[in-house]
Amino acid sequence: MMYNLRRGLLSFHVAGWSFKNMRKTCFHTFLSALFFVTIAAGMAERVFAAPRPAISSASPLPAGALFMAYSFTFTATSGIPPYQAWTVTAGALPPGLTLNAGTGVLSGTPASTGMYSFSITVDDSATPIPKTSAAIAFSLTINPPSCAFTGGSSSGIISFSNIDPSSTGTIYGTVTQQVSFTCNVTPMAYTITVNPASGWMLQSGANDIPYTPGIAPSGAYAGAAVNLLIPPGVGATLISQPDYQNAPAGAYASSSAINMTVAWTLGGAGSIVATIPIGNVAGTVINTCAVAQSPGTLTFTMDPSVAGTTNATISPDMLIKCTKGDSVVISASSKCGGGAPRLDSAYPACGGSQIPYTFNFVSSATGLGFGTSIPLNIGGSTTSSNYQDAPVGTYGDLQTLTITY
Amino acid sequence: MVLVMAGGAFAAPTVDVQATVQSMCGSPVNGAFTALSIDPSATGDQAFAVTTPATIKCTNNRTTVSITAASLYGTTNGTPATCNGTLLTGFTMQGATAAEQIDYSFKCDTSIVGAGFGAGGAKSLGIGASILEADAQSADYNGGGIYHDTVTLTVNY
Repeated sequence: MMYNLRRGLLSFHVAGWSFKNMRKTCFHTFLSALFFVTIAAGMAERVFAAPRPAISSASPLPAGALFMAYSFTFTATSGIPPYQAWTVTAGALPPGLTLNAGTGVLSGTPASTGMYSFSITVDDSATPIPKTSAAIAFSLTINPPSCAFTGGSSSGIISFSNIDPSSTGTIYGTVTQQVSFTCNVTPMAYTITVNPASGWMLQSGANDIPYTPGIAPSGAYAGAAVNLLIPPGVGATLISQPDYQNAPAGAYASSSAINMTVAWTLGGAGSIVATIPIGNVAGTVINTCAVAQSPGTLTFTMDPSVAGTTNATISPDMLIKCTKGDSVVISASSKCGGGAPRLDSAYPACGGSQIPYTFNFVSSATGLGFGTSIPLNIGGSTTSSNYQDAPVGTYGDLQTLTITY
Repeated sequence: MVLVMAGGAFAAPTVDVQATVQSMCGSPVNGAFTALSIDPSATGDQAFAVTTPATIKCTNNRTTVSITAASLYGTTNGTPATCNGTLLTGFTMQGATAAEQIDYSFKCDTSIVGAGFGAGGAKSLGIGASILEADAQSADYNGGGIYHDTVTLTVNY
């Protein structure tokens, strides 16, 4: 600032403006105006700094699915709520969807697939003139109907832990690794096909046990995950008695893969394929034996007046069945004589008069599977010298057979 | 019979081993008496000496039901007398012809208890015979002929 004392004039710069040779009076007027302008500018600044509304929803929007009801509510901040006049300002919504101007709800049933881009704005409730937000661009993908395996796994495993050939009836496999799928549309009809419809479990390439995979039938997806492999029970993966009862002991594993195709046609044909890979249907046949026919009573009739050998009779004989190829050893022990059988007049106690006898049976055999019985040829004999002086009456004993397999 | 399945499932069907030692009698041994010279003048009964006792074997510990005796020439033929350990009448010896007969008495034990068919199992039937004094006195002399009889013992068990 410069001041000319001789002429009483002021020269100065304010905010880039140059003011020269202003008289004192004018200078005072200038200061007053500047003060007024400054105050006014501050007020104006407050007026023009009131925020505009801003759309707070983020792009992209959650994906939708064809023919599947869709709903999304846009949100906004700043400005003066409530917000209104939600408007698509550029681009186009997916066919079948509409934007509610009053609520900001985007809803409807998509009628076509694809990725759609559009911009929207919203007004606030400022008066007298509502403020309009900046236009925000959004993208929304409408997917076609589809199904996918949950967890990303499309490989199943079926286990027959211990196949007991002495069992009767069907044996069901346990699902040790499930294959499940979900779809993005409900309801959605799907078909499931299995190829091949049956398979084989092999043992070292020689023996085999056919099996039938238990796969879920075709149906309509209703929102819950669908398990392809049916757990033990009706419809589950099974092996039949005629197929396992004559199988030798050992480990068996499937020799081919089973493919399970889930297909649909809604919105266009599609399919996904799961597999039970080679070896993923497995089981073990155990060695075992069972009584196929309980024996009758081994009966001696001893005439002490007749010299010679007396043979006992039994009807029926005892029959056993054992796993095919299993080596079986049979031993016996007499209750009243241990390894030297004795008939005892005090039986079921063993303190009376005793008559030695021989207990005969098959002591070793090879299992023939549970389709064929093994007779034990049980019998007994004794000689008259063992009973010629035996007191008249009845005698008894109990033989315990141990079958080791 | 008890069945034990080692190392796997266990099943235990049981079967008794049974035996019956039958009640039997057999292995008979015929008895015999020493021939008796009858003295009609003698007083008292005249007993026959047993040279071979009649024996039989029965199942050990088996008590017979009854023993009967039948004389070939006596009235007990067809109607055997039941042995009771005392002398029984109705027994007759015969000579060369049917007209030559001498009555006598016979005895045998009521029953026996079997001792089995082993070496020591033979049981005596307790036979004995006598000619009563009256029968001896009335015996005819037929030239010193020989009289004999066969007694059949039946052991019921």
